[in-house]
Amino acid sequence: MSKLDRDTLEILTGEYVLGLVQGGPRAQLARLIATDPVLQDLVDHWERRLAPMIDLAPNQAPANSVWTMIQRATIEQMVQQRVLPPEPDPEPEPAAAFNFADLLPDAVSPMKAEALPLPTPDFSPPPQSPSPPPSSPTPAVPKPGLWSNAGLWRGVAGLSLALAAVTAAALWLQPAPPPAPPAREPAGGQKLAVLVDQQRTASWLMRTDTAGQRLTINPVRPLPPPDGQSYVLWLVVDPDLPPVNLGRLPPAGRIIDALPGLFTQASQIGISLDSAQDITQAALPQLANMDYLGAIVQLEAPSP
Amino acid sequence: MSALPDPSLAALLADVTAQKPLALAHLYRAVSGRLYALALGVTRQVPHAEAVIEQTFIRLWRGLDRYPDDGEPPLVWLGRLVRARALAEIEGSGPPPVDSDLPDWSEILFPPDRPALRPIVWLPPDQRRALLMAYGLGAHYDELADELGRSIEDTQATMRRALLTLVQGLDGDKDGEA
Repeated sequence: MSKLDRDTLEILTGEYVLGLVQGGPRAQLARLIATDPVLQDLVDHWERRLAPMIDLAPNQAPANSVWTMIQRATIEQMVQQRVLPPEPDPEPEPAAAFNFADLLPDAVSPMKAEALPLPTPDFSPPPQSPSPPPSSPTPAVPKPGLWSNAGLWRGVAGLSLALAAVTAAALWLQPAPPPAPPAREPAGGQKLAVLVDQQRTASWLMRTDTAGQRLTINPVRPLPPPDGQSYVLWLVVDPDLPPVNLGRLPPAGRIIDALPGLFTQASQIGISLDSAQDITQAALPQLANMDYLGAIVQLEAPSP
Repeated sequence: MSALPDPSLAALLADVTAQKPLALAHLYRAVSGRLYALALGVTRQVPHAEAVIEQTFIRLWRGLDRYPDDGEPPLVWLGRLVRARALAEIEGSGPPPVDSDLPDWSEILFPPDRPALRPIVWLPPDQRRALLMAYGLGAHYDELADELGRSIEDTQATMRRALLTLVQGLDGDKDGEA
């Protein structure tokens, strides 16, 4: 390649990365770049050359609704991973008369009764996730027929999946190291919070079931919101971080069945009054300005 | 790349990929302002810029974009993601109209002398100005021409000189120019 050609390509790809190539020529060039490794390399170099200019960018905070949308998407995914039922087994076959569950040791057997949530297909366990223990296909009494039993191997695969899911779930429930106290119990156990208003009057009562999975919040006396406003429920994980929007709270109270994993790390729960029609546009309240706020306390130790 | 990776941002990015909610919140607090300014500068429309930021963080969370930790500073890597996504967001829509106050990039006209920025700092002022406006504010040639008070052809020549200077000054030796 001559220097002239090389310079022309450098300029062209530089202009492309800067967004100075527009319209039809841009689309044409994009198609070429997608198939030409030399052009791809030049584009990559330009992106890396120019990218340090991000250091010069001013700090302009996006609207609160952006964080709310991100939280919603991530929490929804976490909840989905947790509550999705396992995929139904394929058509039962005669060979499936072998019951793999009978081979499970007692320590594992509770999993059989529990509707163990399997991860959705795109769920990637943390990279530091320890490998699930290798499942041995060796039954207590090896019989040649058993080895060729399709049900056994499906069961082994199922156990591996189940163990992987348990490992993933355990890691998911494991709290990230909180940047500030108070330290919370890792998960589970009944929790309670009494939310007080700015005059320190007890106004709402929040409690969870003994598993810490189902939250109920009710007013201690009728609390109709002012005209044009509604209650918004917030979870405070860390006083230095923005609270997590748990959605609208009807004046009569609310039950939340699938709590986000963040709840295990939450130290306080709050309620704000907001006039936004769209809940995602609700103003992010400062902790001191919450209309109602209460510390979450653990009533009993989580079950082992 | 002369700047060293910020270990705390790199660790946060790894934790976000591992779907640790607090890491996501910390990362958002640390970098969303700059990334949003970049997205808003390029798209010039709040809804587009917000969509870019939302998608960027959601994709990080879902592990669809993973920081390669190959020596490129995390913020620089994130800036590349955001800028590419911002350009894709407005692709085919023509020169974007301005529907809000653009981020104040005025300081970029006098960039600090940081090692990674040195080749840009050393450009002649008109070339530097054109380059920074194109990068940070998504300025097109007609707007750059207005800003520099020149014809579009002159502006193109200015920009192209800047690009060639960067190629030669920044990594011409390692590229092994023909």
